Amino acid sequence: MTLRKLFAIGVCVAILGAQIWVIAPPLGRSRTWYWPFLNYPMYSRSLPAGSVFKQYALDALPCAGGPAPIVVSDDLLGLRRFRAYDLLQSIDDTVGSAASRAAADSSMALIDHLVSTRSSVSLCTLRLRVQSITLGPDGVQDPDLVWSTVRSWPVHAPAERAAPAASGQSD
Amino acid sequence: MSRVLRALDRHWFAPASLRELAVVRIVVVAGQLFLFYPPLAWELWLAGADPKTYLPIPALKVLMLPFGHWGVRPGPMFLHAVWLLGIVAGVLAIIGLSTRLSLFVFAAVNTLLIAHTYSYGEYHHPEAVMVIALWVLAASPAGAAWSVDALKRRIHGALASMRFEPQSAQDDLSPFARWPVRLIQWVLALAYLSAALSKLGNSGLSWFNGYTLAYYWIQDGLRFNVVGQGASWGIWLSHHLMLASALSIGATFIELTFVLAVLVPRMAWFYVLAGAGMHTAIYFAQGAPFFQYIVLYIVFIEALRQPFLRHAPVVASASAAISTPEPVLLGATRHWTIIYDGLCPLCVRSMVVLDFLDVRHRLRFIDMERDWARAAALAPRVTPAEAHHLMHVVSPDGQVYRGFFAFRALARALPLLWPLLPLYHAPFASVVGPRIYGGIARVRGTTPCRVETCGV
Repeated sequence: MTLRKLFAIGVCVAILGAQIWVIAPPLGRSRTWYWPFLNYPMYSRSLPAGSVFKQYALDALPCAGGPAPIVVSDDLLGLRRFRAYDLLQSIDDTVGSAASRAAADSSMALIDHLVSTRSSVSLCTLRLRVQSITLGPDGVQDPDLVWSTVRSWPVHAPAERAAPAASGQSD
Repeated sequence: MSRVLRALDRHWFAPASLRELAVVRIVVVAGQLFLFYPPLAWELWLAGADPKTYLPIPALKVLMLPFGHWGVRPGPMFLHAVWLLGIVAGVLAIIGLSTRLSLFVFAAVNTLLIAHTYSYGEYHHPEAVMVIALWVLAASPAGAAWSVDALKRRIHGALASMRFEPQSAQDDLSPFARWPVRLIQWVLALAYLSAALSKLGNSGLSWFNGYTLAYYWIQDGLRFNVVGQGASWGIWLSHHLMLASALSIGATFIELTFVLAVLVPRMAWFYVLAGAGMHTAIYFAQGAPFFQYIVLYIVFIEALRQPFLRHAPVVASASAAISTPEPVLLGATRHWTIIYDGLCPLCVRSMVVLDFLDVRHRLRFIDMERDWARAAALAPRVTPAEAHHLMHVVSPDGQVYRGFFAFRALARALPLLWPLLPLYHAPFASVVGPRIYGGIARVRGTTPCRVETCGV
């Protein structure tokens, strides 16, 4: 067997071995640490009739007052789309464990920090708004999509907040 | 045991076409460079994000290690330079100049740039297999054919021996041309398998209830309304649960059995079409762009070639020439025959280049110094003195072209030269062209090869 063939076999074994290792059970959790070797569990959770999908929007009231709140976009926060969604979702998801409340606090701290350091306008109050869409037995129920405010909180100076936690999501 | 090893050896190392591996290189690198290369503006935008949002992944930490401490964050200037380097490396990898180095640099740059975009708390999946494929190609002999490197090697060899030999089908086969495409095929199959097993393992048959797919369509359609229609399509689909259920079953079936495209080559076309359809539908419904996978299907080129050629007879005839080279036919032939001076280095170099450009295998070559009898039989009106002075080309219908007009005729026969056709047929080209050709012919005539270097 030539050295060249041994090299080829080595490359194949290493790459396939790494790929098989990351996709091996348990199947539920994303293994992204070894990117580009990934498993692919996205969209694998089944959902029954009655499942509710929430989409989030963040806006802010300027300290100087004004006729309308300012939309706090992913761009304004300097966050990627999924990351921003994760943070907003964790702020909404406070019914339950102390861990989820801690995650919400951490997310709010990060958003506070980003809003106060990146916005050119002085902002005093942040509002998280939610739109809930229910998937009924015959499809989407009540397609009249109504937004409601689920949480609002004052913007703190960055020094008053603790460091944020990491999060991640993937498609 | 030895039977298993022999089967594995055949699976990974049976002789395969270097040209097809080169096609894989060109398509994959060009796809990544022109369709999926990370936009500079996006890299710079992330580089300007708040440091608290920077969560470097190991791949980025490893690649950045030569440039600073473990976990160092790339700055805008560095990203700009790397981004430009990647473009240069990509272009060189496509044309095949310093191919291995170019491919390594291109793979490293793409890994770094994509890893950088994933170092802000968010991962996606479409790029992963593409990045692995780039590294695999860098480690493979993907530059052994259809590359400037290969052309330079052939010219050097021909000039060293002062003998031009057209490339044969045997030259195209190598036991090391198969493993890279096999490996990428398997990585693709494992990615699909992971997706299918996750669905079945996490949810079982309830994943096919119709609500699940409808929910995800609505979710992504609303959240990431990239195409603009995602939300309305998702809502529409949510009212057609039987359809959603059927699509769920179809998608999981494709993912679960995609490995058959690797193991049963004649089924590859089905999986390539089905996979391309699935990813296109996912994009329009959910905005998730897995188009890298469609580009990577080029690794099934060997399996796809046969069914494709059955429906494309023109290409089929050219392909037949690849696998069964015919002897030069005197008289009626569908080939163009070039009569050249085998003792002239410039002519030998030109023949290597023309043979390189002859992707449809339309050319046959006669060295007038070694085989004048055949040349005279094919073009009886051409004298040895004329053949020494000018290159002659005999068309499939027996017409003889000389000098500049021979090159012009060849430009019609060789698709890779078609971009030159307007130049060859420009006003006054028929006047200026022969003069330029004559000038070059005179120069080469003043530097005749010596007997000892010509090997005659």
